[in-house]
Amino acid sequence: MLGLSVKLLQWSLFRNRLQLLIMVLAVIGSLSSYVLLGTAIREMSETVIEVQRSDWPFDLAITGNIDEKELKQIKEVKGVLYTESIVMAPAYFYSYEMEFLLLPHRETKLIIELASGNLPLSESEIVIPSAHAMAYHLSLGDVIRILPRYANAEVQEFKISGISSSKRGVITKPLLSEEGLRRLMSAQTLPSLTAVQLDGKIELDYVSAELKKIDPGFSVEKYEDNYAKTKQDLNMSDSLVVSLRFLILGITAASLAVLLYIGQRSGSYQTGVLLAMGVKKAWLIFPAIIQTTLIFLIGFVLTGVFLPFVSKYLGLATSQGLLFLSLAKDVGVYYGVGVLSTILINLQFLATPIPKLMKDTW
Amino acid sequence: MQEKHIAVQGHNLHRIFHLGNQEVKALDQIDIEIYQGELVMLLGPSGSGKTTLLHTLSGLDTPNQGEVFVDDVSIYKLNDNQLSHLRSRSFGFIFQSFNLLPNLTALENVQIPLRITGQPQAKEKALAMLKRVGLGDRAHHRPGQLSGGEQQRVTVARALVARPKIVFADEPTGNLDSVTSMEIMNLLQEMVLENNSACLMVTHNSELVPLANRVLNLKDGRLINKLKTEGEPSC
Repeated sequence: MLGLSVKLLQWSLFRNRLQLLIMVLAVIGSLSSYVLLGTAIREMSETVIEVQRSDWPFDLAITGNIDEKELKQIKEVKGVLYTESIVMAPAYFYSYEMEFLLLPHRETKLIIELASGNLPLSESEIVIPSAHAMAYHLSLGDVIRILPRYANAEVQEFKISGISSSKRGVITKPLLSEEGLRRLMSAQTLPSLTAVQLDGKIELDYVSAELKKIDPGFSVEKYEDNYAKTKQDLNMSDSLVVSLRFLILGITAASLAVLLYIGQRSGSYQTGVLLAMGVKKAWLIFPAIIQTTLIFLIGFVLTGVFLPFVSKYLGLATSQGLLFLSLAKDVGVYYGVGVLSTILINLQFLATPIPKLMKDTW
Repeated sequence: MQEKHIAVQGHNLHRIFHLGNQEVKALDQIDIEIYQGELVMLLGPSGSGKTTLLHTLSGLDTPNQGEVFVDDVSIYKLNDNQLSHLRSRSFGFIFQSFNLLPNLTALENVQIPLRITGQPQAKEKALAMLKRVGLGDRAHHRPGQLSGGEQQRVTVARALVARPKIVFADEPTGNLDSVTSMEIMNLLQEMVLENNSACLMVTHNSELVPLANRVLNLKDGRLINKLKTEGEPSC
């Protein structure tokens, strides 16, 4: 009987090679679209959240001397996504106290975009936010006076070399060159703080407590309002991503089930003949399940081969490793749907009267 | 006189089909016995219930009422597995449209009943049976590579290879020309006789009637008369 089952499997696999090819392609298409579209939607939502963050895209700031080892420990704290060293100094501008920022290094989460002019290159140049330029009727080339906050400081003059863009998310602090910032400081060393961006899921207090465990001397400032909004946005985005992924899963899994149904149905005539001859129903279900398994196995391997190329073509930022992980995780869902459909379809066929399966008229 | 042994018996068989709102009696109060070693032909116009009766007696279709007995066992009281077991060991089927599995060779098709029943030397037995029906040299051909007559020979070989008690043949010559039809019928008759099987055959072809031991006529789901051919049973 086993030999016959193997023959039946061979028969059901190869009775229609075009159908087999379509099935394998459908599995590849379903898996790829679920993994790639799912990843693309997630990346898109992360980018949107990033943009939706305020001009200060950090959730915590640590003041204090941080060595390499401590920085590594900070990065390893659960929920920490990113750290950046920021240098800024307080000073008075038109009698308002505000933070003046050192032009950040190349890799920064801060968004710097100029509406006009250039970045500050010399010690006497400054970039001011557009809101300030409008409020005080300032324009490029104007000279402004800034009073450092330390005792006995003298007023410093800076020429406006650029005005920041008023777009959402663009930094709203004045920018200075290193030499320019030193003019606002009494000390030789520039004060630095480590800004931390969190994943939007972890509790702020938890991270704060973990940071204190690394060094009780850390002074941790929490941007609670910013973080609450980010968490809310992320929750919404997560729900949206899950819903869309579920929708993709539903559509592709339903398509697969329909294809499986068509495939199985085309063999119903022979199924009827075999049942008439006394083949037990279980012996007809097993080859169908093995057939589905083989189709999924081939589809899974081929998807794994094609995935890096398609992902590269689509310009996805997610690493290949994570994509494969997602594929490996999601193939189970599809395989489950495939096997369940196969069993249900076969049970439906096997419950059909044999003469009807053979399409004999009475 | 030697006592005749009943191979299959149908008692008070009713089968109703629903076509839209219409109720059609395909079988209406049928009582029938087929004896071991006899070839019974079932005649009747299209839609008279011939195939339904064949399906009902062979356990392929459940009657709305009535019972079918094989060896004093009511087959519709058997569970699925028991019924499959009975069909695989006691019944052989020949269909008008051959119903061979297209991706298996003639030899593999004939082996199916032997594989189902787990008989040893299935390949050798199947090959011997193919030689018996004159297709020894076509054993490794697939159905698509065989003519209609050859395919029906394979079907006859497949139906008889496991030496079933009863052969159910549904218009076995319906798709064949008259010469090939007669060849197939002679072959079937010869082999059924050799196995001492019973054979119930549905046919439209009145030219085949002389080969039958008994002829039954069906009309509107009822057996209207039971004719008997002269002479000794052919099988």
